[in-house]
Amino acid sequence: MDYLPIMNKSINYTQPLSREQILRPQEKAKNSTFLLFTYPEAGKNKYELNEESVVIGRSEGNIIIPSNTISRSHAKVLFSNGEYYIEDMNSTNGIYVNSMKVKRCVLRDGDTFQVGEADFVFVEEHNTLI
Amino acid sequence: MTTFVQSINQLEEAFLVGFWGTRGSVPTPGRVTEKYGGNTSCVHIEVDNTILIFDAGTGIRNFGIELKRRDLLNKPDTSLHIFLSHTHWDHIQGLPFFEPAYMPDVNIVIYGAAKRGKFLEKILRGQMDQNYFPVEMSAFSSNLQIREITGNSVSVGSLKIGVQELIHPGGSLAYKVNHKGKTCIYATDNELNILYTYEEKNGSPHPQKAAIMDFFRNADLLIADGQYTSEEYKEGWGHTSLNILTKFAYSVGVKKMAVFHHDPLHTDAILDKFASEYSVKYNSMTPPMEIFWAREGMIIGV
Repeated sequence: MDYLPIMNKSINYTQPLSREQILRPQEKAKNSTFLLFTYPEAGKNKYELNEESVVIGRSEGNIIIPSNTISRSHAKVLFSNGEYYIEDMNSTNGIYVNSMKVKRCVLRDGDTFQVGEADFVFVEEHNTLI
Repeated sequence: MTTFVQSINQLEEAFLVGFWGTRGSVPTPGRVTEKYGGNTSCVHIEVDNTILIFDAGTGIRNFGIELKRRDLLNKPDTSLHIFLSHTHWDHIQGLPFFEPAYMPDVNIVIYGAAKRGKFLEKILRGQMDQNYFPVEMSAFSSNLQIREITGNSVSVGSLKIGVQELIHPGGSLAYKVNHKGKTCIYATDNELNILYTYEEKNGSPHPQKAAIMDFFRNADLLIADGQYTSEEYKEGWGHTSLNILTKFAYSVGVKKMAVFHHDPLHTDAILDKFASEYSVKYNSMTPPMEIFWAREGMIIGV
């Protein structure tokens, strides 16, 4: 119940409330954004996104998938202006978002994308503490 | 680490199309429209170093930010070419919020239809009259030219952009870009249903039918108005129903179609359902026609 500090904790009302004290539960909620992905011989995987670029490639990047269907540096998940995007890095086989070939696409919760034979799902969880 | 700016500039595709506003009629923000987007009409086409912008709905604001982010506006010879289908609100309302228009070193040319007795420049200035907006158009410090189109094509550098009048109250223009044997057509605000009802009523083809069919024929990518279902279709409101749009596009050999100008009442879930139904149907035909619902924030190659 620490999301209701005013109700549960002793507060000196002569002092201004801190931001922490006045935040509503929804504002305190920590969102979680991650990729779920599968590819042959490796089962299910999860990669947390922390508002930084993530490169997916066969031999270079943050997510390495050793497959001939994937270019050395194949695709990048970018964070810009508060949004995540998936972008093709001029790969040989391209990238597909919801089965459509794209150069770049903003990602929304539940979007699927394919990088070679690897299947990804973009997940944004809004974890309220209510 | 490679930045976003460097990364997008490295895209080597020669003929790119970006969707910045896909909604029709009125901006429709909110959780139920965030996938396909709530901004009104704006598409860009990038061919080598030439940037063409189609319509200045509210989506053009984000494209202005994108141009700054990519550092494309600091070169002295930067030219942006904005082609207006017409001047209804949802196609011009973003112009006062287009940052490059306020940048002195940027050259902007706006193209649109020559209106009978209403000059295009006067219409655009009108929406920035202080009764509607606090900053007048004279505050645009870019080198701005407004050109009315009178013929059936416009040249921009080595590109020739074809022009075709569509069926819409007050008029609307379609534009066709050819590059290295590929064709992309931007054709929004168009009531194709009238081509069929006219023929049923009059026993002869609509006067514009042959020209529109020829213009659309064998397009590699057609960006087209598909605002209504057949049940929602409103005769004379200037928009096409999906059953007619898909039938017409297939009949003229369109290879890939982006359904555009989404109805404000159509949520992401509804558009997903349309996309699923129509893409399965037309992908399985011989020859197939690829159909997708245009989505704000998406860039594809033609």
